[in-house]
Order: sequence, then structure tokens, then C-alpha cells
Amino acid sequence: MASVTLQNLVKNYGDAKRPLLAVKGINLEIRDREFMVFVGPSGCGKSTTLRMIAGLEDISSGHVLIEGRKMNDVLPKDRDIAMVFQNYALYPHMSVYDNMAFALKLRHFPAADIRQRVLSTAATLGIEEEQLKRLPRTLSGGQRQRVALGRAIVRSPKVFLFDEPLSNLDAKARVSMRAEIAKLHDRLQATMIYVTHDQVEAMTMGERICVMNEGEIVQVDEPMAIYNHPVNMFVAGFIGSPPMNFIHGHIATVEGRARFVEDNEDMDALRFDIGERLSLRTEAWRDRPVVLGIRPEDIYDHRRCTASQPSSGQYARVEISEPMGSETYLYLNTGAHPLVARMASNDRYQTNEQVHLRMDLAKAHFFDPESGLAI
Amino acid sequence: MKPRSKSLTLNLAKALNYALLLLACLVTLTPFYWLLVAAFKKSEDFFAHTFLPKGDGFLGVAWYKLTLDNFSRIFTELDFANNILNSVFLASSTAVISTITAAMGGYALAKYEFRGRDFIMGIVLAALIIPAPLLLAPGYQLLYHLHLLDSYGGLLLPAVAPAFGVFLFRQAMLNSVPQSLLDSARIDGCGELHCFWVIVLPLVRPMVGAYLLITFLGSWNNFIQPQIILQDADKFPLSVALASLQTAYRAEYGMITAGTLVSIAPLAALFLLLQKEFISGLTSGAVKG
Repeated sequence: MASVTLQNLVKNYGDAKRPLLAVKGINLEIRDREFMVFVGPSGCGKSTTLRMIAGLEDISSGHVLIEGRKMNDVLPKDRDIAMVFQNYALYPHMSVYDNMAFALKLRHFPAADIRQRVLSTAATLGIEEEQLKRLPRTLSGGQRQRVALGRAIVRSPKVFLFDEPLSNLDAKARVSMRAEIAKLHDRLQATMIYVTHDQVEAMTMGERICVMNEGEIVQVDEPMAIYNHPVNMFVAGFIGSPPMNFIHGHIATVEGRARFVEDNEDMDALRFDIGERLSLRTEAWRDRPVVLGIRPEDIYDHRRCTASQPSSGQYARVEISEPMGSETYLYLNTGAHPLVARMASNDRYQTNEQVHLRMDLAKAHFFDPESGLAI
Repeated sequence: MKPRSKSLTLNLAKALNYALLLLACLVTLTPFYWLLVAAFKKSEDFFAHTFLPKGDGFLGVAWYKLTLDNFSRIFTELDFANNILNSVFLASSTAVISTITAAMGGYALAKYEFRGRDFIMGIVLAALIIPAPLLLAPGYQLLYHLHLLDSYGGLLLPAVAPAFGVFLFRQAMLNSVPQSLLDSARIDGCGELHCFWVIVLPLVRPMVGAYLLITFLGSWNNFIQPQIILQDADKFPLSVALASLQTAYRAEYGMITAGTLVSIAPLAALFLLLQKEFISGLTSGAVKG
């Protein structure tokens, strides 16, 4: 297995006079046997970066190193990588067996060895022997992606690359394939780089997550570290579903205590005492505009709070209540800001009902509204 | 409208459709029927009867007047077997060479990013609108300078870069060859040429079949170019050999029609063999697959 290093990697689709930068000089070290997930919105440069690692896209400047060896001018076939694509990319005129054996045949493996590898990989992935004779078009989406996975595994490459492999699958197949890939990583102990725009996939699968936006790396860390300590409003809003709530306001000192006051022309603007810890952290931001970030699960309904839960609170109006089965998403409006709260599954709310909210400000985040950076 | 009269209207419309189709079939097939009958007629009956010679035989036809002489004469008095071989060689080579080069050209224009690609595509499109007869004189001059007159090379060389084929294959590649398949093949270990043969060509197989048939037919029926470029009668294809039966003073119509019938037989066989590919090739990309 191998580490992958990106050094000042740039992809310019324009020219020197009119640059069109898809990737803007990123640096990253993906450790040996690590499961790294690249996540970000469409057009953030994650797939382009993956394609540059694969050798499918020319590198405008910078370097890609696999196991410390510079790969810029090495052909894709000689990088010892395997890639799984969003649309499976199975050869439609070849049987499942031939699809899986194709790369081995090109590398002149002995026929018996090819057969043994294909059969054992198929067994691992639950591909039946009867299916090996079939053409890809006769398989379901999930089965096809399983074959695409098998085609990658059968070669035992140094690095696995996944380009949004679950995006074409239905919700059920996606969940089972997600687990399948995670198990595969545990079993193969291979370096895997996984591109997705789905933050749920990123959170559940990655050992580390690399959040990208507009061709740059915004934050690289373990999933929970990114969730709990986002470096800016982009990461805070992108990771987590439903996303983090942002409330513009300022921190005032009232009766000696630091209090967050929402920017809201109504009389009943949200006002929360932010506690000693946050008060110290935001000391330099007194009476200056800030953005409060609070996750939906850190907002509570006053009526259902226990004594141990936070006590400060204000009212907001219910716009929509979405019962999800295991929980209820409550879409609220303070008059100046929309909010989403995650409530218990059996909580029921009426539209336009006023809910007395409490927020766990110990878990709140503050951001600079100009730069978007965490305070 | 009552249901009964509605079904009557539908039946009438259906009947009208069939009548029109029957008429179209008649218009299309009558010349073939005429050709078939003419090939078996003696020269004295050729103009005496439009179709089968009338007489006292079954269905009012003088069957005894029909003969196979025209067929035996084209093989004994003419070097027709040699002409057939020439045609087979020319049409097959032209079809194969033209299909391979057109597919390669179309693939390059559809799937490779390179400087000048749009310019080359512009030239291909411009070449499509130049009428072929306009190119005869400059083509002849070029072949003269290349010392390719009176040689098969002179007929095969112009077929190497068919603008129509390149355009056709470019469109087929755009629709039928996903980029991810090429990427996957490259990662699996395919070189560019191998990728073309093993992945790309099978994906556009219907278009390959259709284009092979189109170019084979075009070359088989090509008269004007071999007539101008070839001088040696031993090298004549069927089309030129058949035309030589008709001079200013004499025309062997029986032999011409028998020869024509023999010459279209391989085409009919080829069409029956490739018709599935031909039809799906012509309609490929018409709907989302």
C-alpha cells in the first residue's frame, strides 16, 4: 500500500492570460492505508483532484506523489491504482467475468491465476457464479457497482480511487454499499481516496475528511473534529444534516454578563446568555457583529426540557414540521432568521405555533461575519 | 361520434394506409421485376414485350421464349468473373479502409482535446458540402502527379479520408462512448490503439455495420471514378465492364440486364446479412438509450 502526496497541485482549464482555476495549489498528505474522503459542493475541484491523482487529467503545476514517487508523467496504467466511477464504467459488451478479468489479462497474468482471483473476489462481494456470465446490462445498479468494485479489488492496487460511486444508487443500495466499502477498507487495509458531495457518506466512511470549496482545501480532519470544530461558516454549514443554523447578531454586556442578541427589529429578538467559557472566547468581539452557529440538535423545546438542559430561551414561530420517523425536523422563524431544530419523533407541532426555544450554547459556535472564520 | 362509426373510420384509415404502401411497393419493385424478366429474354423479344413475352403457355406467357443465354454469354464472351473479383476487391478494401479511418478520425474528433480540433471539424463539415463531381478534375490531376492513374491505389487513396464517415462516426462516438469507459480502460492498462479496438469499436458496432454497408454499396456502384482512372480492361470493375457493353453502334441489352442482376446479387446478400446493424446504426442516438 502507499501514501499519496499532493504538492501545490494546480489545475488550470484556461490559459496564462485568462486562467480558469479548478484546483488552486492544494497541499495534502494522504497516509498509507488511510480512508480519505474529499467532500464539497459541485464544482469545488474534488473530482478534478482525484482525476489528477489517477493521471486522467494533466497537472497544470505542482506534483502528485505515490509512495514518494513523482507521478506527473506516469501513465494511469502504470500508477498501480484502481478507480470506481459514478456510472460504474463497466464494458457493456463484456461479461461480468471478462470485466473483472480485463486488467489482469492486459497485464498477462496466467489464466488460472486470473480465474482464481476473479472467483475469490466475486465470492467476497457476493457476486454469484451465474452472474459472472451475464452482461452488465442485465444487472441492477447495486450489482453493477459491486462488479465495478470487484474489478478494482481483483488487481490488488496500491491506491483505490472512488469518484462518487454511490450517487447513482437508490437510498437502500447506497446504505448497503456504504457499509460494504467501509468493510472492504478494513479488510484490505488499502489507501482509499473517496470523492463525494454527500456529507453523510463523508462522515460515516472517512477516517479523515478533506472539505474543499472553490478549488481550495478548507479543512482536513477527522469527521467528528470537523463536525464539532468547523474552521469557518462554509464547513459548519456543509457538514451536518440538517445544516447548522446561523443567526446574525452581536454580543453585548448586560448586567455584567455576556449576552448574544439577535439582529432583529422585532421586540422579541433572541437573547441568550452565552456563559463564562464563550464569554472569554469572544471577549474581543464585544459589541461587534458576530454570527452564532447552532446545530439543530442543540435547540430544545422549553416544554420538553429537563432540569439538566439549558435554561435560557426565546420564542420562534413554527413554519413547517417534518416527521422523519425517528425524529422530527422543526422549521422555525424568529422573524429575522430561519432555524431548523431536531425534535423527538413523537413531538407534534402546529404551523404558526409559537415555540419557546432553548439553546445549548456550550455547543454554539461564533463566526466573524466578514471572513466567515470561526472565532 | 358513435363507437361503431369510429371503428369504421379507423378501418378506412388503415385500408388507405395499406393501399398507399402497396402503391409505393409497386412503384419500387416494378423496375426490379422488369430487370429480372429482361435478363431472361432473347434479344428479339426485348422490345416486343414490356414484361414476360405473351404466348399460349401457363398464365398466357410464352415460357419457352425465356433463356439463360444472357447469363452464359456474360461469362463466356466477357471476362465477367474477373470483373466480379475486381469489384469485390475494390468494394471490400474501400469499405474496410474507409470504415477504419473514418472511425479513427471520428473518435479523435469526438474524444480527444487538442489544438486545432474545431478547425479540423470545420474542414470536415466544409468538405461535406462540396459536390463530388467537382473534385474529379483536381483529383485526376493529383493522381497523375502521384503516378496512381490506372491503378487500384488511385481508387483506394481518395477513400482513406471520407468526410461524411468521419462526421458520422464523430456523432456516434459522442453518443455511444462514455468518457468514464475510456478512463476505466486506460487505468486498466489499455494503450490508446488497444482502447480503440477493444472498447470503442465494439460500442459503435451498429455504426460500423451501417457504414461498411454504405461504403461497400457506394464503391460497388461507383462508375465514374473507375471509368476515368482505370484504362486497363483487366482492372475494370463490374460497373465499367457492364457499361462497355453499350456503345454508340451496338447495345447488348440482354447481357446488360443479366450482368446487372448478377452484380446486385452480392449487395442484396450483404444487406440481408447486415440489415440489423444498418437499421440500428442509422437510428443510433435518436433516442436516449
